[in-house]
Amino acid sequence: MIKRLFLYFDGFSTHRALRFMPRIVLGFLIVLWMTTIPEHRLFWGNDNVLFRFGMADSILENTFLRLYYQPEIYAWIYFSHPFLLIAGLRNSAYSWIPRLLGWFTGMLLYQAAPGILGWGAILLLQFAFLLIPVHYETASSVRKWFNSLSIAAMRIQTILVISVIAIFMWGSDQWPKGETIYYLIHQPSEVRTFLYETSSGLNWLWMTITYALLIITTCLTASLLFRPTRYYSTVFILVIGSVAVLSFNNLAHGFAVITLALPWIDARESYD
Amino acid sequence: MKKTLLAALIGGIILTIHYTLCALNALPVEQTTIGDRYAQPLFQQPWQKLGSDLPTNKIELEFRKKNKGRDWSDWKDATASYSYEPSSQAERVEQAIVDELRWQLTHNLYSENGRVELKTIMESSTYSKAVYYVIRLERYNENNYPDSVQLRAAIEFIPEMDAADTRQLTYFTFPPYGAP
Repeated sequence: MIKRLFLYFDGFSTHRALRFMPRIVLGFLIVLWMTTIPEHRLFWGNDNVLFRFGMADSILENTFLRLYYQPEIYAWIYFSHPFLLIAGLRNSAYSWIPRLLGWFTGMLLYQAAPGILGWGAILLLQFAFLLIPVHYETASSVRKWFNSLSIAAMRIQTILVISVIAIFMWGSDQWPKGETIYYLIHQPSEVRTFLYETSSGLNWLWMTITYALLIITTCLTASLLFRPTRYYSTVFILVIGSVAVLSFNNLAHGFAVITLALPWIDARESYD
Repeated sequence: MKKTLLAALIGGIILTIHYTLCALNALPVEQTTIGDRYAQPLFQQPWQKLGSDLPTNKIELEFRKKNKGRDWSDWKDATASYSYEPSSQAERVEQAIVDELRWQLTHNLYSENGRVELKTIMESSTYSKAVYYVIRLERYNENNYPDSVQLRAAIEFIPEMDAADTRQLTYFTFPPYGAP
């Protein structure tokens, strides 16, 4: 049993998701960066409108808060970020260098303006971090080990995210009553205008969607873990993510949901 | 084969420790756990927000300003008055401040001698953030340095499902703030 588990881990090193995941995740981060261009000087640089009290406790936190303390260096970070991400799209032995720097600059930008991109950006940056050492079809045994570690970590991360959401859904007041989507689409800063304008009148639809999401999220953790249902689970996540991209003003939400499905794609072929 | 097993074992140990600490951060049992200290800032797990209740009200931050020798201006939305759309990232910043303000209004609003007291809220960093946001936007967009600004939170309660929509606004008005 333990040996099978170890072979299972070893088999991850050639998982086909590793071929496209860096391109998709870094591509999402590039698109997110593009969405910040019109108003970027509001959030980064000397004239930014953000405000923070005091300093953080640890050296690490203060390192990532550098743009708060030194806003004048923002242009170096902000404009180098997309070029580093683009350089990290390639599948080469040295791609870990631009990926590492791209992730680092992304973290600096995110930590200086956490309210702009929200939880979606956190998840994308965590996946970008896990993808730093990935080199698909490498001959190096060390790189293969990193490939395995990366895909295993991303899968556990997905399970953690979905199961935490499901647990809190059942503990909330609104989800079990079918009200969450109704209250969500009443927030004009969250959802696109066409949805906000329909916020009154389609209550049956919002209730149906809420219950459907509650049931799907609850079942997802288990259905991802079992091979026969894995394919359908990834399709569900991709559909929910695509709808989120179309529905939310913040693209990071939808991108993050789509990213949750990516480590599980190719599930049918990979272990046969 | 032995090397493979050893590599997998090391990988398994790393992942077990890492995600145990991340899970402690994601499912907070205490206020500050070892998981919180480990997960900040690289591996924070704020997913509980996605499964939690959403606000049952809409709040907009409004302000008015006073320049030397002039009267108070009309009340304006802190972000929309500078032509930012509701879908803009500037509005998202306003809503991030409003979220904190909502928490303050829920937990720190009280009445004393029959009067609503905003003292505790005004001592919070949230109020400072709101004032800073308004003054900074005014400077950024209008190149104006007002002597004083005054804030208020315009609250619209979302009716329960199938209840009539009254669209009534409730205001919490803060005392004027003398800008430096």
